[in-house]
Amino acid sequence: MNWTNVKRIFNREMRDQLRDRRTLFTTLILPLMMYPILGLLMLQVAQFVSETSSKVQVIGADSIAELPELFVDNKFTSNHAPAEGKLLDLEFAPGNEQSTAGQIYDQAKQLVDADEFDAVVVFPADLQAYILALRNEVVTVRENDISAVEDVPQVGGVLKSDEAVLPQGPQIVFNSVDDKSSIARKRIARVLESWQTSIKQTLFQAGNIPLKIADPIAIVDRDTAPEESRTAALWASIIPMLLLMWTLSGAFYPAVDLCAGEKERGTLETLLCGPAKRIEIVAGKLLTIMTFSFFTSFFNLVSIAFTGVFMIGRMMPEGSPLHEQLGSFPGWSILWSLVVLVPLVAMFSALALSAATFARSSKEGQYYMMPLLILCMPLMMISMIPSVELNLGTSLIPVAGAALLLRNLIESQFSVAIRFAFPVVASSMFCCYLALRWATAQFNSESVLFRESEKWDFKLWLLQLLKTPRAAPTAGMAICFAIFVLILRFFANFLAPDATNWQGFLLNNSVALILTVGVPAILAAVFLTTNLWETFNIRRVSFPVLVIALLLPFSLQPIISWFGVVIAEIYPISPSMLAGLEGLEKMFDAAPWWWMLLAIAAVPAVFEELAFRGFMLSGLRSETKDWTAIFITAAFFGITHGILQQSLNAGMIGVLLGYVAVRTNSIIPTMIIHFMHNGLVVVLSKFSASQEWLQTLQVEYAEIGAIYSPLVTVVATVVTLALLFTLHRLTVAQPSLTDTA
Amino acid sequence: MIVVEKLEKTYPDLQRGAVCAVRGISFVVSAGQVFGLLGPNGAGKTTVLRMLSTMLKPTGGTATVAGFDVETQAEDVRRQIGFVSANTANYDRMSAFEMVEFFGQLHGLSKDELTERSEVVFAQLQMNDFRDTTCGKMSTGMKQKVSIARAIIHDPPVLIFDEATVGLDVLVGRSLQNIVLQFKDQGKCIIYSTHHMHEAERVCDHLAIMYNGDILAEGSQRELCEQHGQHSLEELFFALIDQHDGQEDSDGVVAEGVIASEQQL
Repeated sequence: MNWTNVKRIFNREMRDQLRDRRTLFTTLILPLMMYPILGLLMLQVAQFVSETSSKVQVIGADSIAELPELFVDNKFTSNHAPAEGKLLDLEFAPGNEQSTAGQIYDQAKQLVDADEFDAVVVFPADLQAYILALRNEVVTVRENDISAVEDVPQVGGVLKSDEAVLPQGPQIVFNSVDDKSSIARKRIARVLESWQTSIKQTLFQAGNIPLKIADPIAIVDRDTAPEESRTAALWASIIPMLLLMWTLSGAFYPAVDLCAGEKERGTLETLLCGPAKRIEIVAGKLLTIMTFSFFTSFFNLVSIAFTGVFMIGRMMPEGSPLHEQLGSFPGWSILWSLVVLVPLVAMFSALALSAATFARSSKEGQYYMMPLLILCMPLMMISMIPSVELNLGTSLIPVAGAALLLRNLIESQFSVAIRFAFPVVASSMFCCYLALRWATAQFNSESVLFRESEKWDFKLWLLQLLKTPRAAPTAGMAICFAIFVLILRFFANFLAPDATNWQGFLLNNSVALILTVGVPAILAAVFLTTNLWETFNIRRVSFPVLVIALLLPFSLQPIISWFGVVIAEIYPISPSMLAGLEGLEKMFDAAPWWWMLLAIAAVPAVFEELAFRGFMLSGLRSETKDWTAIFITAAFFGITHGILQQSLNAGMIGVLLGYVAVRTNSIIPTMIIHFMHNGLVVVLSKFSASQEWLQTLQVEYAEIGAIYSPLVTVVATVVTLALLFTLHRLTVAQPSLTDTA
Repeated sequence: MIVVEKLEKTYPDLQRGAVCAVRGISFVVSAGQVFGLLGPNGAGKTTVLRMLSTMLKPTGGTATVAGFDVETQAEDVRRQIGFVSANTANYDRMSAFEMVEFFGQLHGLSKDELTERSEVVFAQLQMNDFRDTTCGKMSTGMKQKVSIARAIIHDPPVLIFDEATVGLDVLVGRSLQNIVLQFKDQGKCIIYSTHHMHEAERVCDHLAIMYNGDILAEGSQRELCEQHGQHSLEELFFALIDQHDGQEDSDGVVAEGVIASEQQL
């Protein structure tokens, strides 16, 4: 690759994009203008909501005349929380002494539900008497004249008994779902709290007790979180998602113009017949897209920070109701996120480049943007779930890890962020590498570069698919098949009846596997291909290979059990899933071993091998390199296993099975390995407890239980490698048939 | 300069299954020669030229351009050629000069070389009037001149014109033909594809008539007419196509006839 050429192409593309007003608008002007305008709008709306007065009905106000003053001129008096009191418009209704508490509540509820009032305050008719009685009691206690207590008028029996009965007080009837009603409640509560203090004051005065005794201790919060991150939680969860969305769309618009647009305008062919290599063109275009993606998110970030620091900070000072709702803005620290954005920018740009190259026209390119965004959305939104934290497991998930890292940076939790920065960057860069491989492949594909616009016809395509004889499936068929199987399995999970006993469970599992994996594979092979042996990769293998296939599962056991430990450390199994697994184990205790062997070992070994190492692997091998085919097959094989921990395990075994299938050109050894591996798990779970010799090989590990001792594992690893090496020596991978004619 | 041997291109097509766009054709073009590829749309001319300019990979046969193999030495081939086609558009947001400069730089011309070459090219093609006009605002004729300037900035020994006059008016078309003849006088090796007989008559000194992925006949205009007993290129063209179609229809009959006559001998 000639970097001078890459630079030249980059410079040209940059100049071209900068001359395009649309790009400038979305990259620079839109972000710079959007947030201030958005901020202004938000504040306007918020102020509108918080500044309107609430309409409140007060029932029974006349019954508290002898208590500290609360009302003056249809308002609360200004010495109780004046800010809130001012915003409460009161309307008085007399308390009806005949009505019961229930009736009054029903009446108030009606008013609130009908939206006639935002809230209703009810003063019970006996409240005043109750308070006065309290005061008398205080006075009596002070004068040490206990007998006087007896003279106090009895109110609802409260004072008579010593049992702790909740003091009675005013009730606020409101609707918590209605925002206006909630605000009214909050305001009324403030006023009434202050009023309560006044009542306390009179009571304490009556008893000659210093007021501070009312609150003898104060509970002090000492927050260890840094000042910046204390109330930034809301912002820290929203900003990463916003940024990631802009990074993606900032990559996508230029990508569409640079690839699909060039195809449409006919300039791509001009560039292709020039002296630059394809890889140089890809690199130049990628750098351009990255630059725009980066600056789009950079300007967005700067604009968010600017709006946050200068507008939101000033307009919602601490203590204001808005500040309480939204928390304080994290401030300039959000600029830290730029560091994380770099690998993400690279990943999104490579992804956008591939999708845009695949598109025939800009219009088609725009259509790909939405699905891509929607696919990434759940991952981006992870930062908004408070319970999901950045750890080794989440940091390895592409996009999601970065979103969480961004959140930590914005919250100024640098120590956590630094710990997981490397896995986040590594997983992003790995995805970037894959996307880049795809983009380069697109640029080397004649059918993609010179595709004629809008000539695709479903009927023709289907006819050609069914009528063109081919011995083995194509890569496209393999991928479509795998996606189809995934969808089927997804629905099968919901359709399968709940199993209550082992028969039901095993039957469910086997039937589901045959219907969702086995039958589709056989149908696809019968209808789409002519040579079933070739399609399913079924060939005779030599005796030594069979022996290796029989031995491998044994030596694999310890390695896989350790792999399970590593997975469980990174992605701990949730307690609910653990409980489910225990339930299953109990269920299986009753199941005869041969039944389990059939359902858990034999059925998967036959049908999964036919589908994955058979149909899918031979399809993929016809158009990709062997290892690419092996990894893609293993990935799909893993994903069909549903649960993340199981998927990772299956994915690893899938790589090994794929390798064996490619080397031996047959799925017979992989069926044996698959059967033996699953079978060993069944047999060991059934019989290991009674075999003492087995326990000598094992050690206890935390919650997972017995696993093989390190020494056994090391020996097993050596044996496994030796077996694989022998297999490698014994076999020659045959290129798969690639006849599509 | 250009040696094509049994060149073949097959690609999968939704409608027609595997399509053989070029069926093992061979020809040679030497320096100072304008080699015409004459044929109707869909004859396979563009596919041949795209293979020669390394944008498509042949599925059979070989082709070398200035001694470089199109499959294994694609970059070297592209440095030796200038490719002008109806499909190679200019960047709308760049001026004529920037466009030519960009491709000159990609070809590795130094700053001085570039200035010198662009003076020559702009003068030769009479483009100095619209040097700084952006391509988006140009007329079709101007655009085609920019395309040519872009293709010859590195002074390549081989020039490929693929239907380069499509969409041009008579005047501009004629001036383009003149330019091609100038290049011929400069000793360039030129492949010129067209479906206009008059153009072919005027520009090309060696012709290959292509139809359905095959070369039906090849030679100078006079040779061809004499060989097939036709007095004009147009008559010759249609006669050859009729003959080919007739053969296809009665393929079996012809074959049997050949065998029968051989047996008699």
